[in-house]
Amino acid sequence: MDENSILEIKDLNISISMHEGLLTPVRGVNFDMKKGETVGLVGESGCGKSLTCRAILAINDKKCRASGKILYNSDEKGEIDLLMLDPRGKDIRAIRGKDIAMIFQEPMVAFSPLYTIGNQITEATLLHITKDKQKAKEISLDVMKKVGIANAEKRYNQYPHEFSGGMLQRAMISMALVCNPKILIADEPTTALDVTIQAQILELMKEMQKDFNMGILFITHDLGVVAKMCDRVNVMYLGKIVESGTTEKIYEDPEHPYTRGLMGSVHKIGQKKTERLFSIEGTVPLAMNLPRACGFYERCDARIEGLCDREEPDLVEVAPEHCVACFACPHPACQAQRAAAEEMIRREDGRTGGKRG
Amino acid sequence: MDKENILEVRNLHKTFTSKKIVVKAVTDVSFNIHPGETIGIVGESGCGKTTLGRCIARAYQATSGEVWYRTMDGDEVDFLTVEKDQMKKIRKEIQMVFQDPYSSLDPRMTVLDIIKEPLRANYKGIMSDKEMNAKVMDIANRVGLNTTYLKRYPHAFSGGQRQRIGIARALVVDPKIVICDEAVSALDVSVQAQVINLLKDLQREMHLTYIFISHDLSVVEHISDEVGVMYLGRMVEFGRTEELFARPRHPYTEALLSAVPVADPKIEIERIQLKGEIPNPANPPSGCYFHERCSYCQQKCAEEVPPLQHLEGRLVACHRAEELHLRGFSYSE
Ligand SMILES: Nc1ncnc2c1ncn2[C@@H]1O[C@H](COP(=O)(O)OP(=O)(O)OP(=O)(O)O)[C@@H](O)[C@H]1O
Ligand SMILES: Nc1ncnc2c1ncn2[C@@H]1O[C@H](COP(=O)(O)OP(=O)(O)OP(=O)(O)O)[C@@H](O)[C@H]1O
Ligand code: SF4
Ligand code: SF4
Ligand SMILES: [Mg+2]
Ligand SMILES: [Mg+2]
Repeated sequence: MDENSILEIKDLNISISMHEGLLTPVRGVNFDMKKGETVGLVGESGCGKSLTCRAILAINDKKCRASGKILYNSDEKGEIDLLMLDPRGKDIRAIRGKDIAMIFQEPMVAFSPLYTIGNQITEATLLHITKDKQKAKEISLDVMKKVGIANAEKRYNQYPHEFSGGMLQRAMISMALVCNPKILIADEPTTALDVTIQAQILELMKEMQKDFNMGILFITHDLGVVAKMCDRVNVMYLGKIVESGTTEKIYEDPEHPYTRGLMGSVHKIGQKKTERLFSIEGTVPLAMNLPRACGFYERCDARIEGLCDREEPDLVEVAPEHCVACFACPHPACQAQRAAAEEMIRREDGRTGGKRG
Repeated sequence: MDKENILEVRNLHKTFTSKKIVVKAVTDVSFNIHPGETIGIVGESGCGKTTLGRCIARAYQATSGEVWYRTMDGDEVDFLTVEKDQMKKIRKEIQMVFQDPYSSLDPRMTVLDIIKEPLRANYKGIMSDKEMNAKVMDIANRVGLNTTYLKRYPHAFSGGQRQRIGIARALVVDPKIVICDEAVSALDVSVQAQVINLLKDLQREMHLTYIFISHDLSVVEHISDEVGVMYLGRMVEFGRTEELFARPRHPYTEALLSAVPVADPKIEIERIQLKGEIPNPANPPSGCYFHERCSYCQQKCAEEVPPLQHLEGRLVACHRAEELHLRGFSYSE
């Protein structure tokens, strides 16, 4: 593992057995995160973003089977494959909340309605930082103040239902940050918030990142937020990363047809008004009994018939820090991949004496 | 009623009372809508957008105020006090698409039954079951739902499809006014664009009037003809969309616009920091509700509630609206 990396996900596959068949919502995901970096994960609803980030903490349902590697570079213990740890064992529990913390979309699920906010934040502190109750409370209050909760001493003794949505979100962030994690996973952390509170929270996350050199995995469907927050972006479609690169590259010069469609769907205020927004036609297929083909084939305006419907492109590096999975991409690495796939199809057709299917 | 309006909301109030705590969720809101247009409603979380929408649709009983409505037959009625007989006839003309596509659909009903439900409620004994099914098929087709799947339950549909189910359910009774409460907020941008295009197409085909509630300002800017900005239960600004986005006249609108995340990593917008917390609606501040957080606040602001007044084709509730030069978006050609 690269010593600057804090997290490397290698060929992550997740499958769920359902009575209609085997669902494969995550199909070979690869990406990495450097220390102190913010990495974005974007893609169509249902493409496997949440499953991927929950796999890092081993908090997916029992019926979700994961394979591959999730390498975490621990300061104390060196490289650890999180997938190899017992999901209920003490090793992962020592990492969860302390080294790697998560913010959920819905703050209500992170807190129990039965205990005060202060109690719940202090609990994490007691578990990981200090056994001294008074000290733990001080640390918790300090973080609550840092995330901008006014009147923290009073708020400490209140219950979740006494907080407004935005304040509860901040409380959850303070709970995630109280142990100064090395990695913060933020799954749609501000989707339910209005823009003014959202902006406050994003700025706060950036500040904390600077203070603690924390890596952030940021998941959101708001491409404006991604532009503001992320150093690099991974674009996911049907369980795979189809393009990754620096935020500027992905926004200014996207290469994969899905990324281009996604970027084109954004309406920017101040743009000349068009009657209709651009949108990608059709919907994502269900990740079950998928044919050997590019997952985007049905909806792609650049598809190459006889190729894209018979082989699936891999994610290949086309330039430093820029990877694409598409046969139509003109870069030499993609074209080499295309030639190899075409050769394979020719040989297959030669053997069967005609086209498959 | 003014001849040009289909709806006139007048001095609408809604208070919630529980355990002796009185929350003024909507205070003295008034605005008008032209037929076939879209009004966007924006504002901080908890400012009363959903409550306003629900009061207009009569999903909540407003505490006081009037909602004048021009019916399909051309009558002018106060939707909130109209008599039972007539209400039965016109209730369906104002429909609502609810905030959450996941929890607002009954998981035990098939999608066919979910969409058919409002027909049953409004046309019982008037329309046969066969006619109802035909109507459901028609609307399902129009909103882009595959009719072969209508016998399935909602959990088998993706977020975008569920949103279409919610829209079909609201449109199946041929309403005139549709209140969309965060109808696209949970969707990713490409599905969002599909649903917005769909809403616009249907608006043209069926001559619909929309009240579009959302915290996503770029979506509101795209879809709305006019926008109302709410703060702590009050309408603080109301005007034509482009004018309001280009030159806000209320300091809260200015702050809201400055916080919009722009989908371009190169653009850094200087955000206007609002001081302090959102005030407690059960105990609102004196004078202008915004004064504790407003950087333009003066003596008078803490003492007198600014009335909503006309100003160059805009409605604004700010003592200093005339003299302030606030920052908005610059529109390119
Ligand atoms: N526990 C589960 N049982 C069955 N299917 C599941 C389960 N969890 C997730 N899925 C399916 O796996 C796919 C990926 O889900 P995931 O929640 O990771 O999507 P996502 O990318 O986070 O989407 P969104 O943007 O809507 O949150 C979806 O099709 C979903 O229906
Ligand atoms: N049924 C209710 N009982 C008591 N208080 C309520 C009820 N519904 C809403 N409120 C309160 O009224 C105020 C306005 O709530 P409303 O749901 O209308 O806000 P909103 O603008 O739609 O917010 P959001 O953007 O979060 O959806 C809030 O203070 C809320 O707590
Ligand atoms: S591989 Fe083919 S179908 Fe897939 S995105 Fe590229 S051009 Fe489109
Ligand atoms: S009335 Fe005063 S406090 Fe209120 S918005 Fe205007 S300037 Fe600010
Ligand atoms: Mg998710
Ligand atoms: Mg609401």
